[in-house]
Amino acid sequence: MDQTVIPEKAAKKKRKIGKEEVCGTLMAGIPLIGAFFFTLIPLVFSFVLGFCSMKGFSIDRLEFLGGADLFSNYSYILSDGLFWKSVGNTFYAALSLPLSMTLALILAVLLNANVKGKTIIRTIFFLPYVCSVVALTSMWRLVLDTNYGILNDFISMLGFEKVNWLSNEKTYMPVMILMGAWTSLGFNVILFSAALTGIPKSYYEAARMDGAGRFKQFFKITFPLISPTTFYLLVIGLINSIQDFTRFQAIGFGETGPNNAGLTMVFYLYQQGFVNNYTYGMGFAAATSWIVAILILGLTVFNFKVSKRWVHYDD
Amino acid sequence: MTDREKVKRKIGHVATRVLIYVILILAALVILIPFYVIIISSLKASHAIATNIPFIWFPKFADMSFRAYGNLFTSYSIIETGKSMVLTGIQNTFIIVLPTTVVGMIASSVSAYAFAKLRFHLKNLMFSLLLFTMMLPGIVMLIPSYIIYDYLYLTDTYFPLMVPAMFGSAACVFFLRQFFSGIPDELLEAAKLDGMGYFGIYWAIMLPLSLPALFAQAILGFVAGYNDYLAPLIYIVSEKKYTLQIALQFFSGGNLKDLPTVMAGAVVALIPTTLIYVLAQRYFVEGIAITGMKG
Repeated sequence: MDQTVIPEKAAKKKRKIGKEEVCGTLMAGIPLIGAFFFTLIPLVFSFVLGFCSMKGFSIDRLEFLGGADLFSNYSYILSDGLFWKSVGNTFYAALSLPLSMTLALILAVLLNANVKGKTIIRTIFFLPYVCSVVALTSMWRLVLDTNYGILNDFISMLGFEKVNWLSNEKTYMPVMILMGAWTSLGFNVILFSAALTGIPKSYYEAARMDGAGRFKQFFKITFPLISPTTFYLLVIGLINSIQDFTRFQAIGFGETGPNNAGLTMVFYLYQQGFVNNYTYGMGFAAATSWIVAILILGLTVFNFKVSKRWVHYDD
Repeated sequence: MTDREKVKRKIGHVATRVLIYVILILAALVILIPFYVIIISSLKASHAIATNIPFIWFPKFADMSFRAYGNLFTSYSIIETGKSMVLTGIQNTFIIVLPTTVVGMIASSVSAYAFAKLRFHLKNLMFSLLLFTMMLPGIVMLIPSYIIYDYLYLTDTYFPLMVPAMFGSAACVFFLRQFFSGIPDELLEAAKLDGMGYFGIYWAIMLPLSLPALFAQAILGFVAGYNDYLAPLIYIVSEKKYTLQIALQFFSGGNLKDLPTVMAGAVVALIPTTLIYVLAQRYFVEGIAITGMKG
């Protein structure tokens, strides 16, 4: 035993760089192995699938759409009125993002003003964020109920008539926007708070000496200095908004809302792939998912381009 | 005059402070009230409360009971096994989420250690690849993944819910890599001189020194797994394999008239995550403020 150990140790010293190379590559590579099987292979398959017809779930129903029909999934989707409705609904629902971010910024600024119980308030704001979509939609179904719901309590207190929020095409999305902003508020508050505490107090003191008022201080100091965080929240929030789906599926138990008012883009593709599979099928759903992905990519690139005008990174 | 001005300014200052507190407390109430509503509604004693009457903000003690919770756990049993659907759902969720979180954490942290402390030629390329996977919208993989799992007879099993996450997550690698970079190299050099291997160094030095960071990430992973809705909705078919979230959704859909029981379900769905969050609040906020991860 001892005899074998000594040469091994000597060899180890010689191959020291080699061993670090192998170990490092293998250890670092673990998530990449997963990504190969569970991301890359599906990604390539998804691309091919967009040019195939596949009604049903079994792979032997897969037919490649050759020749003139190659883009027929895409052309069908782009001429489908329901698809364009889902695009409109998705962007409508995305209004919860500016709503949530504006409120979060105001609240974060207020929290930053040496408030007692700051941690407790922040904890409360973040609470909806750790709740499951099932719990949240149960909660909101109740809050929005026509007779039982507290939203209508307030509405009738103000002298208005009670509204059946989730059954009316016109009121469905506004309350879903409200729910979205309510849920994501805490996340935005935490990130804005972190950015605000990073601003040196001396900046404000200097501005005050120069006679700058509160609003001027906000727009000349606070807003530019937290702009990287604002930008980050905008990019991430928009990517998530475009994929908004589960809360719409859960709140209606799979129904798409009155006159499809809750049909977002991903809900549309879910319906194509899993619910109306024998009319549309997996090929359509895969093609839709690529349209969603391209839209996300386009919006993100646009965001980065525009960001040069308003986001300030200090060097 | 100057005194009066001073008093005026002071009153103005106090008024601003009061206004700040009023706004913050109002906002906190807006967040808390829906939680209050479902808790109170789940504690209603009477059976047949449809939603015809308005919500009672402060019900009498005599009108409250835990009946709905008993009902939730006993009223719907899975035909195949005869066991409570909600209890089975809780059990299944833990069977899925606990091993997945632990194994995924180990995978992420091993990878993060290599990216932070080891030198190898492909490092930058591999790191860029990892960054790339993070930027792909998950929705593109949904449909093909389903077809592949179906082809391999893996739908209606826990494989799609567990195995992919066990390879670790890119976001977690980023977070931990940053943390590991802060651990001084001298410590690792000393261990290397003592003849410790790379995995040994990870296990004996990196892991113990980074427990708070690992804990923060593990909590986020657990909450995400516990709350997962889309994957089990698509992959799990048999009632006996439902996760808690799917079981509750199924249960609520069929019992909308029994409001207290449905609300008891919602409360049960959010107790574990809110409890973990309130207890480990510090780790949560740190983890989120640093990675900006979406749950």
